[in-house]
Amino acid sequence: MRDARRAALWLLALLAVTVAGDRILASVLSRIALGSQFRFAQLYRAGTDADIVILGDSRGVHTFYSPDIEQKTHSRTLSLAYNGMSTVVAEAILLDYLDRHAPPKMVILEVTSLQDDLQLMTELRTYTNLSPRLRTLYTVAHPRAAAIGRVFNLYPLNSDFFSESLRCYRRSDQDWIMRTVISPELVASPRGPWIIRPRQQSLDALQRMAALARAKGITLRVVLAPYHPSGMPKDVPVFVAAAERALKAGDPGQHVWNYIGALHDDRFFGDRVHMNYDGSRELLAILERDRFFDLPHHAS
Amino acid sequence: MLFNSFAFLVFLPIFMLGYWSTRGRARLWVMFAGSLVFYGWWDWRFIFLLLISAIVDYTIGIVMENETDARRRKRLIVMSIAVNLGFLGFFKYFNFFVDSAARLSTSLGLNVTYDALNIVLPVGISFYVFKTMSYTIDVYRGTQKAERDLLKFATFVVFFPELVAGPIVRASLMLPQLKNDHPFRYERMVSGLTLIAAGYVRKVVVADSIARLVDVRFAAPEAQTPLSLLIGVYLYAFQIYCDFSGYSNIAIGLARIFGFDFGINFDRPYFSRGFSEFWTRWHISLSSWLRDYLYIPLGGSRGGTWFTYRNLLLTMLLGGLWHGANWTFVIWGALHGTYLIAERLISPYYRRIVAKLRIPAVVSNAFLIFVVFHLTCLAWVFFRAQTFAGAWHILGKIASLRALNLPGIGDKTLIARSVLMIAVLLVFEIAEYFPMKRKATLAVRPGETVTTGAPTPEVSPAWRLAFIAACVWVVLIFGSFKGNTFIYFQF
Repeated sequence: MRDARRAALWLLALLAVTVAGDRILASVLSRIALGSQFRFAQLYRAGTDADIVILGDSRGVHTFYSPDIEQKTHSRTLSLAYNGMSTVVAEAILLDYLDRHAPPKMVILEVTSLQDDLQLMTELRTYTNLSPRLRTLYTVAHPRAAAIGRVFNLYPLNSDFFSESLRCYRRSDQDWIMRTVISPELVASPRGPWIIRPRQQSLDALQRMAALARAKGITLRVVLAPYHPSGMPKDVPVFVAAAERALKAGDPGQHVWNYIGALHDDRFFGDRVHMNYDGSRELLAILERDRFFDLPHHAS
Repeated sequence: MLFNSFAFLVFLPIFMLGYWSTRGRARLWVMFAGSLVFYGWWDWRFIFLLLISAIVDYTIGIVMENETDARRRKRLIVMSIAVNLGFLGFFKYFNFFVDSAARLSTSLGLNVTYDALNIVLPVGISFYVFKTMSYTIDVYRGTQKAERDLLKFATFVVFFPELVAGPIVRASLMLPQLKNDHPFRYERMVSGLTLIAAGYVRKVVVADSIARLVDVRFAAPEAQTPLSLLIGVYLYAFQIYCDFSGYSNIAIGLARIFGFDFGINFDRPYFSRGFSEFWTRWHISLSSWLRDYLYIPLGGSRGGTWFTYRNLLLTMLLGGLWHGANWTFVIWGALHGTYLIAERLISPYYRRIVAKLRIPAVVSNAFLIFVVFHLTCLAWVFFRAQTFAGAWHILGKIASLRALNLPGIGDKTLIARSVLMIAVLLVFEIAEYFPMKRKATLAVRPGETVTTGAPTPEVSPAWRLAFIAACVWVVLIFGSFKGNTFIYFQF
């Protein structure tokens, strides 16, 4: 009986220490994460307004290299694109950005994000305490994990984004881009049929983004970036048509800037679906030629 | 049921309530029934296989003990081994051997076709078959009395903490502990929870984080640079170590709370200075099993140099095959067998060189640890790769030494995080090394029995509380909650 009483007291003490430590550590670590130069810390920390904001999934990351865009356009550029970012998440991110910053002149969206799901919410949970929109999406995508997060404050910090925040505490992560060249083995290896299909939720989000950009006087550029010839998906016209329908429903003047076959050389690609730094520079030259960064009069 | 699953979080308190609120046979029934629920959660049909294995060996054990005729006793032990290996052979190796025979026939010009059977491998079969086999062999040798109480024997076979992935707890260790009730002990609960917390950190923080990096490298090595693959191999060495030692920690910690001692299963193996030492530190319950029931019966080191080498190689080949029905495991075993032989050949010369050049022990030991670790990593490539060609491709690419630069690696943050976690783990292991006595390792030298409990340094409950709370925080921030299965479940 004496052992049972000691054990009960010890377990109570363990619970108290664990919970207290959870609250204190979570508070300290959240502040540290928010003070970082990581892209999403910049988003949720006021005072870092940008002229050009980039959104999209990994193809957005490796297509639009913000330091080069900044140099070419003389406009402050912030890439908020991230691996696996769906258009639904991109919309929430854009709205959160507009809540905290002056509206940018231009928003660029890599449109392949239409096919992504809410997987990125596992990472973005780090910021759910700062954004009701993200919290809602996270609860929809991961109800059980969201419940754990309500009990333990440290749990939302369990993400690669938290590690990235620490890594990028003093240095910006805006220089993130593939630097390798696709290997000949990968080019030669066979690949099955590859289809890109937009999700209806993402198409709806795209429509709302187009309407929002129009209402706020923001120039929205929706781009389909190049694929390596060996990774060219099927059904691209269907995909682009669906995206354009959604865009035009939000803003009749919109269209998709389609560069899917603009580059062919292996040296421009890191793998089948992502460009590398050289590819990004090459595409930037093409975009400049096409007056992609020119702002319509109403937005300038 | 996985230790890192939500179902287990619900199961454990219910089991504990039943366990501590009963005594005597009622408690045995709780242990037995609870263990079957734990096992049947995965697939209830295989409970019957488990029970058949237990009943067969229980019966043979009693009949064999009553039997005085040596030939009949021999027949009985052969029957027990045949039944156990028959189960293992059918469920684990049937398709492998048929496929290998068909390939061999094809290479000899014979056109052989066959349909592979759709056989599901029962979880933990390799572990419980070895457990029950060692019991009947011990009864045959006269070193273990046959258990007359079926419930007690069945509870020994199915006890859930070590049922599906070890450690392989022998009857000589477990059955005496089932004779009496174990009252609840505060100290045992605290030290058991400490082990469990450390086990979860190893599994869900270190091993599962590393798994993401390893999986992508072994799945598509052609898309990786040589340096990236090399990093993947190093990381796998720690993934498998933390995965399996984490499971063992949880199993041993759970048993400790319930009043049972299982001994230890890992003892900082990557600090080994030789392969014979490595095998007294890695999966101790398996290596000591192989030593006692395979290596020594084969003749051990009694028949001269070449016989010793043959026995070492055979033991390691079969040890490799025990892990899985794939030639890659056999090669892994062959490599370790070769390492053990090479060590015996080289070590006298090495010792002479060290003495002649007066190399300090710390330098010599560091060199040996470095060499043993790297040769172990080389063998892990075959263990992890799906095919021999895949393993060879990875090794060939690493050996090409092309593009050994960091920019080619995309997941540097994750790698840095993993390296940091491994470094913390190693610091803990080194810190643990100094105050501890070496009893645990010495207890599994040839001829000795497995220890019944590793000596644990005296740590106050307050420190243990702080340690467990810290483990919970680390798990919350860095743990993987995807319910990754334990690597050794597949064996």
